Order: sequence, then structure tokens, then C-alpha cells
Amino acid sequence: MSTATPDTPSREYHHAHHFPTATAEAEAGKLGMWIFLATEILLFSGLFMAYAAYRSTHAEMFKAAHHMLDWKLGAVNTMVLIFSSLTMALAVRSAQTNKRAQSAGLLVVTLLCACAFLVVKYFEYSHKIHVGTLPGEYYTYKGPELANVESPHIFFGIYFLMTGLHGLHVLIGMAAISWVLVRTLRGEFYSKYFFPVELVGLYWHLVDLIWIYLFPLLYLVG
Amino acid sequence: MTQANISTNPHDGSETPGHEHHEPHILPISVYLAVWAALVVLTAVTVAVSRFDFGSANTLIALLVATIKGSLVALFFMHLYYDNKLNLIILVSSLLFVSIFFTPTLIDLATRGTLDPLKGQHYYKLYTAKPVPMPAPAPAAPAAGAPAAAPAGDHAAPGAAPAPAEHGAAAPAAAPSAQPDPHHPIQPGTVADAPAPKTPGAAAPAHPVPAQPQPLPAKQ
Amino acid sequence: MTQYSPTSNDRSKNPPAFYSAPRGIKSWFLTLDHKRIGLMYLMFVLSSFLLGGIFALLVRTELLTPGRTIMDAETYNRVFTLHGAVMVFLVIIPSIPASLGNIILPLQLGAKDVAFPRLNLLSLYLYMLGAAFALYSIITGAVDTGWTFYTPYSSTTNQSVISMTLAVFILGFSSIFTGLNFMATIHTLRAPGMTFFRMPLFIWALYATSVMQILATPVIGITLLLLIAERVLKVGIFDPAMGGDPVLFQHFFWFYSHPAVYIMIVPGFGVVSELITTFSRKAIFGYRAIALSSIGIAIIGFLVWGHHMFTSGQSEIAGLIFSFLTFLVAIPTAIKVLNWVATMYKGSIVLDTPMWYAIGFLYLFTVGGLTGLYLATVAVDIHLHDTYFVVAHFHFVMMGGTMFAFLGGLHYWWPKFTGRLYNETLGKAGCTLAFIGFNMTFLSQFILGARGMPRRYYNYLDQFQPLHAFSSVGAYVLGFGFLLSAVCLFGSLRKKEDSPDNPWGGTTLEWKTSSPPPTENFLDQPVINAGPYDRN
Repeated sequence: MSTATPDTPSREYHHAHHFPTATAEAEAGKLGMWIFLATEILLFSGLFMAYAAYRSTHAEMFKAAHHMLDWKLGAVNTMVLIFSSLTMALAVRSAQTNKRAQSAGLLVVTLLCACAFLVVKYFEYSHKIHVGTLPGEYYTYKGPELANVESPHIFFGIYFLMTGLHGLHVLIGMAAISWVLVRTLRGEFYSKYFFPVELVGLYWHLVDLIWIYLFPLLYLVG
Repeated sequence: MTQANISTNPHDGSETPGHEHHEPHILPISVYLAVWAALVVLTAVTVAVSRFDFGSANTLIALLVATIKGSLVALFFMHLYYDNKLNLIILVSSLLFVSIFFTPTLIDLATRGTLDPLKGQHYYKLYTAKPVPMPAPAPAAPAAGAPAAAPAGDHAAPGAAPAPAEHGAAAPAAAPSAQPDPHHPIQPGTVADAPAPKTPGAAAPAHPVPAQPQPLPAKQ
Repeated sequence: MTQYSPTSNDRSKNPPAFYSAPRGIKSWFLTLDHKRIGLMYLMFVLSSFLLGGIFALLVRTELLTPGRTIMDAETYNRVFTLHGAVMVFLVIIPSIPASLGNIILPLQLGAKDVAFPRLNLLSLYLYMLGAAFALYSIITGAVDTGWTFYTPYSSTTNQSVISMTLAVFILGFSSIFTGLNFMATIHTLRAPGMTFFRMPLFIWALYATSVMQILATPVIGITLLLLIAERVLKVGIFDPAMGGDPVLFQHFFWFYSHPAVYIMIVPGFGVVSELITTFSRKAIFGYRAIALSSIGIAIIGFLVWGHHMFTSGQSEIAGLIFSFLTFLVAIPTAIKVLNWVATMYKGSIVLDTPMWYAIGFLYLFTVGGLTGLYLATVAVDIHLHDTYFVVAHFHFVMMGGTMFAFLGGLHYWWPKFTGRLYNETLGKAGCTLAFIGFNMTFLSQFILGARGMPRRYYNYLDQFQPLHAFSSVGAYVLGFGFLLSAVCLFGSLRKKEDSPDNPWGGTTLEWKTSSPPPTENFLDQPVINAGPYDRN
């Protein structure tokens, strides 16, 4: 099942005509993906800026409000994403070493991890909706922990925006992984052509990277 | 002559940074597993470290641990350690520019009112006051006058409460035709239903607004 | 130097021009050819320029007299907002990179296409989608927030803010993908022998622009998403009534929008470098200085955004920091202007239409840039902020700078991608009228601003009327000048394709292939063994 089938893809890969070699095309693709990841980092930086701004001016409120988040669920999600990063990296490696079935399996595991992440997020969100710790004018929580803080809705606004945008990127990543999975099952990737898997892997690792920063900043404040 | 160049490495003799022709590097599985183990341990460290209070260094320590984890992901899972160095430069540059975004903005937030203590204290207190309950729509709707008529979106009023002060200060610079503009009734629900500039504070409902500041002596 | 174009004098024996084959509308809207994509961008940008220009003339007509002239105040607020939004996002930012850059960049690099042709097509589609959203916003009541969308007005007003911000968000991604493509192309598809310091200066400028597009545009993306969240979820991070900080919005907005103005002007610098060296028949003076100053402007341009916020309530210390940094950014800019003038010195100046635009640029941009220094000084800006002085300043640099460079480049490369030569007299007439009209319109606005006329005002004191009227007449002259240029260029399309490969005697690679080029750009892969402006 995991025997390497050396260099027998379903069809021979022909690189685009405007690149001199296939290697040049793959390197250019990687460069392009890194530039795109840079734009994603700048995109999230706005949210981190909003976080930093309000944490610096409302430090006590942040400390009080973050206790409404369940850090254990956050930690579980962190472990899930880190594991999915591992399986994604191994999936790229398998594609590179012609282990098609292994690569497909690892991609499936990555997808399942992503689903698990979203399921945990679903539970977190529905708890908050139930309790009323929602952003902006939808904030209705009357509990004692947040009775004496000013503008707690700001923390939850930032929480939902950051995790929401991150969750959207998880969804997009899942779509990309599914696409690469389909192509893997069709046998398109082999040692001389696997860079689409690599590029999707880079994207997925960025999703993980962002969560690595989100987790302590949102769940473990102070 | 020219045909032969198409099949060889097209960047011979050029200074493309780091474009050595190399076979893509295959990392042994053990490296991946080791990095993953380190990440798991570091996550536990993140949680453990948050239990202790290091005072103002809390955030810094949390970010430091997160950065170590992120570096492991970037260097090994994303292959940056083995790749064309240009990719690493791109990542580092983006982080550099994020810090360029953060630094002056946080300096601004931290130093509001420090240079001019008198005015600064006044504004700082207003800024950190509790949110103002929305006042009822002003009966004479175009109360804000010409200065608010056109570029309401232009002069971002620094907080609802200081708006009267701003209007007071802006009034001399505004067009003297300060008749209310009938084409710009303040819509109910919009911010800063400021009382008319010349009667500061008089028409305001129960704001927790400090008494309207008189023009500051000798500092104006 | 080697020519890479077909050598047959009988055009019918040569490979077809890139726009001749394949035929059919699908072959255009599904094309992967950068030249076709660039041409389509050009058509959209010029149409948007017409739309933005109509808004401008409406604004100036209204300002002929104080009080109501042709519209009421609410409409006026919408019209000037739309003028700004259309011009900034649909015209100036894409103008040179997306149209001229797409056509010329691979040609100047000796490449067959950009690195990611399908991404290029996606950029075009995103531009069209963004434009559609903008039109939808205009039709459903538009916005009157000013193109800067300051909160809390923009987050609370009952207008089509969301569709307009979505339009800008989508246009932003179009811009990002173009920058991504160009950067990757420059790194990976240069001709053999073309080191970084053998690239034409237009490419250096596009590289610097791409860096800015990649790093800055995502921030406006998130800013607009946050604005939409403010409106929909009432999150409250920018609304003081909910405990938020409106100055924070301004930090977010200007962190992009200041580099955006450099995204607008730096490609113009690149075009002017090309024009001046070609029409002075001389290698550019200070090649490295100009190349590196583009990068310098790109980097320093990220540090100065707070100079738009001196009077908004940001801390004075931050204001001082931003003021100092703004002075710094003038240095690489001045280096360029001095090097261009040095290039012209003892050159054999050829005064064709593109050179008229370049010389006009030198004057107009210098005035605009110097007046920026006035505004960079905090103490002076307190009085000049939000007056017509600012309006005049940015029109000098954006219109007198970027659009003059754009038109100069358009006239310069027109024979290259259409194969036609236009009527020089008509071209020069258009340039002259535009120049005269521009100065009439905007020099008077410096005076208006210094005398206290605030910007974005519908109504004004009677004492300002003569200058306003003069400015408005100038606007019509300016518009007529542009119209004349359009007649000149589009009129040339009725002629046969009779342009030589290299009508201006340029030395860069694009002139080494036919006018217009075939789809694959060059007959053979060009190889470089000299600098881009060596004349031997």
C-alpha cells in the first residue's frame, strides 16, 4: 500500500511555456505563495493591532473578560492544529517520495483535524451566544464577573473577529486541501511535480501559525 | 546562439539571489516528528507560563514562546531553513512591517496628552470615561452648524464627549456663516449630537462631561 | 544590438500581432496573454477616468458660485466622495501598473509572459467585480463620507457604505495580485544576463510598487472588513459612543493610504525615467541612485502615515515623529528629480509628445512635492489641514504627477502596442491644453487654501468666489485637453499599422521586437550583455 511507484504519474507533467524549466516554475510558485502569505500576515496584523490597542487602554477589562473563554478548549484546538501541520508536512513529503496512498491518507487526516478544530469552535461560539457575551450591541451578558468592567463588548468583538477570520481561513484551507487530495487520488503528483501540494501545505502552516499567536493572546491573557 | 539558452539554466551569470540549481530537499521523517514533539511541549509551556504573573512582562513572555513555536513551524514544516533565502526575507519583511504598523500607533495611544498636560489630562479623562448613553435626537436637528455640515466624516471627533470642545475650538476656523444647514439634519442614532457650538454644554443631556473648558490661559 | 523581431519587410509574412489572433470575445476575456490583459485594463482605466472626470467637473461647476449652483449639499457630498473614490481606486492606483505595466513589464524583461498568467486574469476579473460593486453603490444612493470613510460617520450613516467598501476591498485584492505577479516575474523571469542592475528603471519602479502593494493593501482590506463589522455587528472599536477610538480607524486607514499614494506615483517615476533617457538620447544619469531611491521611497513611505492625522487628536509626540519621517521621504524623491535634470543636461533633447509630458511632470511634480513639505511641518499643517492647500498639493502630485506620467507613457508606448503613430500636433495640443488647464485649476487652489477656504465645503464666503470660478474654468480647459489627447490617440487607430519597431530610438528590450509584438513577444529568447540605456 505504501510502496513507492517511481515516477509513474497518471500523466506526464509539462511545465508552462513561459518558464524555462519545471524547477523554475516550481520555485516561482513557491515564491508567489510566500508573497501571498506575507499579505495574509499583514491582513491579520490589523486585527492584532486592534487587540494591542485595546489591550493597552483597557488592560483590566481584557483580564476580566478573557476568563469567559475556556482555555482548555483553546489548548485542545492548538494541539489539533499543530498535529494537522505535522500531517500536512508529511503529506507533502509523501507526494515528493512517490507514496501516493500515504499522501492521500495524510491529507485526509489533516482534513479531519481541521473539522475537529471547527467543531470545537462551534461549541465555543454556541456557548457564547447562549450566554450573551457577543460583540458590540448584541452583548447581553449580565453575570458578576464582568459587572464592573467598562466596554467588555470590545473584547468579545475582537475575539469573534479574530477567531472568525481565522476560521474562515481554516475553511478555505480545507477547500484547498480537498482539491489537492482529489488530484493526489488521480495520481497527478510524483517526485518531479508535487509543488501544488507544497503550496497548499505552506498555506495550511500559516493558518496554524496564526492560531499559535491567537491562543495565548486571547485565552491566556495575564 | 539564442536557441541554446532556452534549455540551460536561464539565470547563469545573473545575480538572482540564491537561485542555485538544487534538487528539492527531502527531510527525514524524524525531523518532522521531533519538531512536532517540541511544539507540543512548547504549548504546554505556554499554558504553564501563563499561570505565573511576571507583571508587565507577561505578554512579552507569551509572545516569545509563541515566536519560538512559530519559528519551528516556519523553518522546518515550511522548509524555510532549506529553501531559497528570498522566501525567508519575505517572511521577515512582512513581520518587520507589522512592527512598523504597531510601533507609532501604540506610541500614539500611550502618549496622548503627555506633551500638553493641561489639555492632555482633560482629553485623556474623557477618552477613558464610560461610554456615553445615546442622547435623544436633538429637537432642533441642525444644531451642529456649518462645521459639521460637510465633512462630518473628515474631522474624526476624538470621542463623543470632547466633541463640544472640538466644535468650540473649530468654530473660529469655520466659515462665519454658521447658520444651521437645513440640508444636514443630524440623523437619529448618529454620534455626537453636539450642542450648538456657541452654547457649550447648555443643551447637553446628562453627560458625564466635565464642565466646558474655557480657552486655556496663555497656552492656546 | 540584436533585434528580435521578424525581419521580413512584408508584414503579412510575419507572425500576427497579439491582438489579431486568436479572434473572438472569448479569446479576450479568457486570455492569458499579458498584453491583452493590459489592453483591457487600459480600456477600463480610461473609462473610469472619464467617469471620475465627470464627477470632478460636476464638483467644480457647483463651486462656481457660493450656495447652490446645480445641486444641493447632500448631492454635492456624494459627488466629491465618488470623485475621490473612483479616481483613487479605479483610476490612479491601477493606471500605470495594471495597464502599461502589464503590457510592457514582460517585454522589458525579455520574458514571454508574467509569472502567473491566470492570476493576472483573476486580477482583471477582480477589478471588474470591484468596479461593478462601486457602480452598484453609486446607483443605490452612494456615500457622502469622503473617500476616506472616517468613522464614526461612516460606521453609522444610512447609506450604501457597505457596497462601496466591498468594492474597494475587492479592488484591493486585484492590486495585491498584480503586485504579487510582478514581483515574482521580476525575480524569476528576467532574460539571461539581465542582473538586477541591468533592469530598466521602469522595472525597478514597478518592483518598488509591488512591494508596497503587497505589504500595504492587506491593511486597507482588514480596515474595510472592520468597518463593515462596525456597521453590521456594531462591534464598537471605532465608535466612541461604544467606547471605541475613531483615531484608531485613521491609523488603520492611513497605514495603507499613505503607501498608496506612493503606489500611485512611483510607477510614474519609472515612466519618466524611461521618457527622459530616450528623448535626451543619453544614458540615464545616476542609474543606481534612481533605482535604489525607488526602494527607499517604498520603505520610508510606510513610516509616515500619521502626517494625515496631525489635527485629529493623535498625540503630539506621534505627530512630531511622523513629521520628521515625512521630511526624510523627500530626499529620495529629490534625488530622482535631480538625476533626471542631470540626464537632460548636455543631452540631445527631442521634443516629441511623450517628452512634453515628461517635462511637464518635472515642473508639476516638483511643485506638488515641495508643497508637501509645507504640509509635513506640523505647525504649518495646523492651519493648512483640510483646506484647499491640501487639495491642490495632492492634485499636483497625483494628477500632475501620476496622470501626466501615465499619459506620457501612453503616448510613448502607443506605437508599440497598437502599431500606429499618432498625430504629433494633436498630441502636443492636448498636452498643452491640459497643462494650462491644470495650472489654472490648481495653482489658484493653493491660494484659496492659504486664505482659509476649507475643503469639501459646499458653501463658501463670497470673497473666495473669483478664485473658485477661475479654478472651475481651468477644470474645463483641463478636461478639454484630455479629450483632445483621447481624440489624438483613438483617432490614430483608424490608420494602418505603419509604425516602425522603434520609432523613438529607445534602447530597452521592448523596442527590439515588432510594433505590435506577436503573442510570444520575441522571436528568440533575448540575451543581455549590457546595461539598459547603453547607446553604442
